Amino acid sequence: MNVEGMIKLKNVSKEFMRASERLHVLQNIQLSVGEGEFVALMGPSGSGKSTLLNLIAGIDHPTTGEIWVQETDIARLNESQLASWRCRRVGFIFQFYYLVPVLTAFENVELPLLLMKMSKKNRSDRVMTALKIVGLEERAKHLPSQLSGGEEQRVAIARAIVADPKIILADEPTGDLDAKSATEVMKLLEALNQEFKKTILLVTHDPKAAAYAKKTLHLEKGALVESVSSIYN
Amino acid sequence: MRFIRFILRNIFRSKKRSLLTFLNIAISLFLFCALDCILSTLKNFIHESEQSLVLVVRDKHSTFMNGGVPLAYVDEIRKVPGVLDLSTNLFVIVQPKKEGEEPIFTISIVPQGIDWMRKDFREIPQDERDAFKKTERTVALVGKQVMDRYGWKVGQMVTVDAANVNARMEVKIVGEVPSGIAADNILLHFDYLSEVLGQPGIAHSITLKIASRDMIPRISSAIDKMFENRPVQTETLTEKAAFSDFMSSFGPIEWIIRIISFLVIISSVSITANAIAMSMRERSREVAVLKSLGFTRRLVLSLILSESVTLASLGGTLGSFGAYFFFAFYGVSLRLGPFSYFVVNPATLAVGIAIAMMIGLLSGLVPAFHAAQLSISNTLRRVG
Repeated sequence: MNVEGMIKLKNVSKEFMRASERLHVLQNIQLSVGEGEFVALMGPSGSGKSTLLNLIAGIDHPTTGEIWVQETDIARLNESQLASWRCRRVGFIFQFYYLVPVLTAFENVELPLLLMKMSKKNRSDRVMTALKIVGLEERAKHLPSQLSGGEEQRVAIARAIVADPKIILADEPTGDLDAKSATEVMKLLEALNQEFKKTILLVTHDPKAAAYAKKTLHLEKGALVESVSSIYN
Repeated sequence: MRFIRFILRNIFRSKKRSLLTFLNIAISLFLFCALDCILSTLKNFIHESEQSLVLVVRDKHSTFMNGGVPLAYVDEIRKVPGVLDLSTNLFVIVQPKKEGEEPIFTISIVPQGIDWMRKDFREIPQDERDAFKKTERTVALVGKQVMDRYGWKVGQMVTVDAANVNARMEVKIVGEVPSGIAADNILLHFDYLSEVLGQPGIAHSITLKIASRDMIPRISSAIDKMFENRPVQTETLTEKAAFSDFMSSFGPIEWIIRIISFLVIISSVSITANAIAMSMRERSREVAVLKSLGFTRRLVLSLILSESVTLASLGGTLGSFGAYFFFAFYGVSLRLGPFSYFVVNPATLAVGIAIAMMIGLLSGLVPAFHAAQLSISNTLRRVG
């Protein structure tokens, strides 16, 4: 199958069973994100934004439909193949950073590289490059508890980009930050998109964060209801 | 190797919990090694006696250290085909002169028996054995532990009193028993003890040196048949059987030790499993994030098992070596009935560490399996 675009979803639906009730979280989603695009995904709570992001990251499976990411139908990959695929192809940023508290910033960023065949020197160079991109090379030896929320999120971004994935998926990356830190993080994501040509899919409630995207999509009750250029651009 | 730092950091994430788990395993393994050390000391004696070319003749109807075999039987026993040599024996508990000192189990033998009766006797240097055989009757070979305990030296004259008997002995130490059960005993000449105790004409037992193990049934039956219609009937046993009979007075000691060891290990597995499970519950989101980064189920399983096995191995190593050094320094002065000289042998040490690793593996298995199976999306799900 010839698939255009970096990310392509065809007729994707996702259902959950809660008690005996069947919940239709996503319904018949058609989505195409091109290489180098910066797309914001907005919508009210429970609309299925995070679920959609999880499906694209391969950490959840669709009930029906196909998910093509860089010409791979990830719905067909098994657990082990998905783990390996995620490691190389996708960087994930979470709202609450989820850094390992007992590891330094350097060691947290290094984690994805431990899964690759790479010399210690090469690993170290790549970690320092990633930390430099997020402006935290001076904080490499600090534990997460010694960093501010904004810095922790920047370490999480470094961890997401250290393996040089083409796609970055960010789930409410500014949701737990003050305005200043949120701006820094969004500028960083913008730079990753513009300078490093990363394809970014951003889930957010915040219109200011969405303003950094080149395109904004809206999800309501599990369906993509509109696709517009950001009004802030 | 790449994950060693990650594993070590996680082990000591909650220092208090890790320390308590570590101590629990260390204490369990210390107890295991200590109990096994006692058991193996007893079993070693049985094993050694299984190989020996020695039989013991005793009064069929009396218990240990009571009654006796008439010395009149000795010449007849000596003539039984296959009997190469024999020693008449008396046993007594003696007390050093100073009050409050520990009693010492004392064995008296025919001096020539020192060369063949028991393996630990043969470990006495030849010149000291010769001195015991060749000089006068009032000489003694004293176990190393007794020497150490009382600060006695070879060449010294010592005075001891027989417990419950109004008898005093003054003997010259001509040598030292370096190891084995006799390392906690005193060896005297049979004639001298017999005279001091005022028990002429009987021996608590007669030890026979025989030509071959194949002859055991024939010799035993010939001797016992010879005296079946005499006032004192005999019972001729292998050294192992005599020992086992003696051991029966301690009750089912092996089973008790094994059950206690097993319960100690089970308790340790439960406590460690609980600590690991608690740690994993706290880290479930972190595990989900690791999986989102590309950590496979197998890797997550391996990492968590490595944490529990490493922690348990460290604790087990401390406990096992703790027991090893404890018994190396203090085991020589510990006593259980006539047994002493308890040492943790290298095999017990290796088994102890292997058990610690098994504790880590068993206690980490369920939490690790749960973590490996964790759904990333369910764990990280939030309203969105």
